[in-house]
Amino acid sequence: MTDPSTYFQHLSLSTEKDRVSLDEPISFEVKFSISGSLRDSFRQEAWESAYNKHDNTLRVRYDVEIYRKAGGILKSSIVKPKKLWRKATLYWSRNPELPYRIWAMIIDENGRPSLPGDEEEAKRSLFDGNLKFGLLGSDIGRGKHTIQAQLRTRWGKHSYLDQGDLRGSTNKISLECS
Amino acid sequence: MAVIQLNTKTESLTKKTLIRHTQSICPECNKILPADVFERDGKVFMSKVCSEHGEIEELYYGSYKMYQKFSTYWVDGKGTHAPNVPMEKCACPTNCGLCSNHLSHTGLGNIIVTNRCDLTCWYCFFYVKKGLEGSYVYEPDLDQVREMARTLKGQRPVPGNSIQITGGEPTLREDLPEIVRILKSEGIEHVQLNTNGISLALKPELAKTLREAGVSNLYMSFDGVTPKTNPKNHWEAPLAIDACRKAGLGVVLVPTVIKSINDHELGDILNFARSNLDIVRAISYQPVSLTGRMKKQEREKYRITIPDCIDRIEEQTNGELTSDDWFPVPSCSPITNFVEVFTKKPQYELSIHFACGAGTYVFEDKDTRKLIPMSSFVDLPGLLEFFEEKTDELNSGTRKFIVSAKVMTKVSSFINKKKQPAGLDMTKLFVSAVLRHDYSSIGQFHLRSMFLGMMHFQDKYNQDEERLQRCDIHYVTPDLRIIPFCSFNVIPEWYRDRIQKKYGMTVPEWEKLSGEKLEAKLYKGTLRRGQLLHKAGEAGCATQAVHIEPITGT
Repeated sequence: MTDPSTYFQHLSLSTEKDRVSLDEPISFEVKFSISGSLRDSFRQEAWESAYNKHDNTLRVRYDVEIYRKAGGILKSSIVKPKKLWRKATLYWSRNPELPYRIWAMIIDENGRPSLPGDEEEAKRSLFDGNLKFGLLGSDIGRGKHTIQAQLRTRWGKHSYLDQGDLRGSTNKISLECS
Repeated sequence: MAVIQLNTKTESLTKKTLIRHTQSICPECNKILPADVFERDGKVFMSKVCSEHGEIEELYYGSYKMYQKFSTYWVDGKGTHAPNVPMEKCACPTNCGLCSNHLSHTGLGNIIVTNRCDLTCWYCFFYVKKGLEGSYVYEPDLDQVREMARTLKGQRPVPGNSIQITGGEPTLREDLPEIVRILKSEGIEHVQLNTNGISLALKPELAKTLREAGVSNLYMSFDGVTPKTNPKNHWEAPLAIDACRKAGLGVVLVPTVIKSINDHELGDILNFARSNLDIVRAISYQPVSLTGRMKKQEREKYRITIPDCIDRIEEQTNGELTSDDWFPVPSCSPITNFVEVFTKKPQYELSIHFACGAGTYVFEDKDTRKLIPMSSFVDLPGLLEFFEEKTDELNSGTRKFIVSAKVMTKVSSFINKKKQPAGLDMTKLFVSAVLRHDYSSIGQFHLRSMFLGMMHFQDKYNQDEERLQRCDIHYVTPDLRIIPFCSFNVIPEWYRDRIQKKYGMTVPEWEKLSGEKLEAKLYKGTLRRGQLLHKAGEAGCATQAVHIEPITGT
């Protein structure tokens, strides 16, 4: 279900060079930032009330694909659709310095946990990203290419949030591989 | 951000990285204190400062890497809706009983049936000592036992269903079979008996009596495979196990692990269990809880934590079991949550703090006799993530039959059938359990496998209110309170001692009433002096005997 009130504030693809040889490594970066109802709903007040309903995890799925345009609508994947997860676990904190009872732990797409210092940091950890993909020129193939990435984000229904699905495409970049 | 942190303080001298703030107590005066949990040199420590007694720093978790991995499985439970101590504000560790702020229902309810014991182990905190001021014999009567079982069963939304009869040494009570029958008659499904096994070694027929009364399994102390590491029941344990074998009564071995005392024998304990796989269902390693007042130097000598034990097992099994094979207890939550949403019925959950316990299942390859950990043929992180995703789908309105179809078709992709032990069908097991709620296959799984668990009970030095609030091993007391283990035993002056005084009697009173001396039931080492009963090399549970053949007793 597409959620029109949630949108990509920023979605871009970049690489450090525009020319690469077949045996040379190259990295792509997909940067994104989600705004709208998904981001706005995820606030401490909502955590508190969701926690009381035993609704204490939010999983956000990111499917990212990088492909080269092959004319018209045809495309060919150079990074096949990759499924990534980020998760927020709401828990009862015993931190005496925290003015709230319920707080969030964020687990990133690499399974690394973090405790955010404030609500905004929690949102950044969950909804903003910079995904890096390392490849060899040979993975892309000889020639001049137009490269683009697509990001799909999905999340489930919660007491403070409707189920949603958001798709977007990045800018195109030109890359010559020889 | 690569680490759990609220903010990062890097001090050039100490190189500490703060992980989180929590609350603890002063080991001297029990004052509730703010505490920091921090990383240093790859380990996790706790520090707290009492205005009167100064700073206390203690090892909290032996591996920061494992702490991070385990923390990702953190999930808070439903708690109980039938608290005995309603409270507006959380006041751990005071007024436990359970209060409305407690976050786990009872996973295992302990009922102490006596605090008399036939042994006098130096590290044990829980037996009545004659001649000690304020020493009381505590033995609830049968009516009290029944009421305690009813209280546990009265928990909502998940009624207590599993009880451990504990002591002291419960087998010192002549009416123990009657106690077991009472618990069963109150609908308690799982009755576990905590014992040192000596009574069963002396009177093997007791195993059958207890089995017939309704005991599900023995939870037997077993601290090592040599008389030096296990002076408690080295000679008697094999005889007790044999009595259980004949009675068809499963055994869980329970080593209390103390650094510098028996931590070099964790692999040998595992080998001993392997040689008795027909009847030993599990090992529950318990890193020692340092009770009483102890100087820092002494604590450092004895202190061992879950990751340290896991490392020792990896070393002592030559890598058959690695640290990657272990998962924290709450890691089973994604499956429990899925079943709960699927059935729309509250499910029994193990929602303890991730730092409290860990576990893994192992199988033995019949040909090579090597251990096969479950994680070597099941992609557990992938499977758990899959169930989290399906729970989200159900919560978002996807129809049950669609989710069922996905479970049926996808679960097998997480299981490596070539590496799966012969005769075991994990796909069928998971599908039967989560979709059809047919737990008979899980029973078969438990018979084929051995569960290895770790449970680190707290003490006043490492006590963390965040852990306490999630504790699911509780004591039920005659005043019908349900008290978390780590309140009951960590602050005995507030809980255990008061209960024993209120519901017990002085030793002279007990001796007068019972007509016997307290020390009359002390074990006199009959089976130790009576090594004549055994042929050389077959007696006791020394490593040598373990590897030769299963011990069959007399």
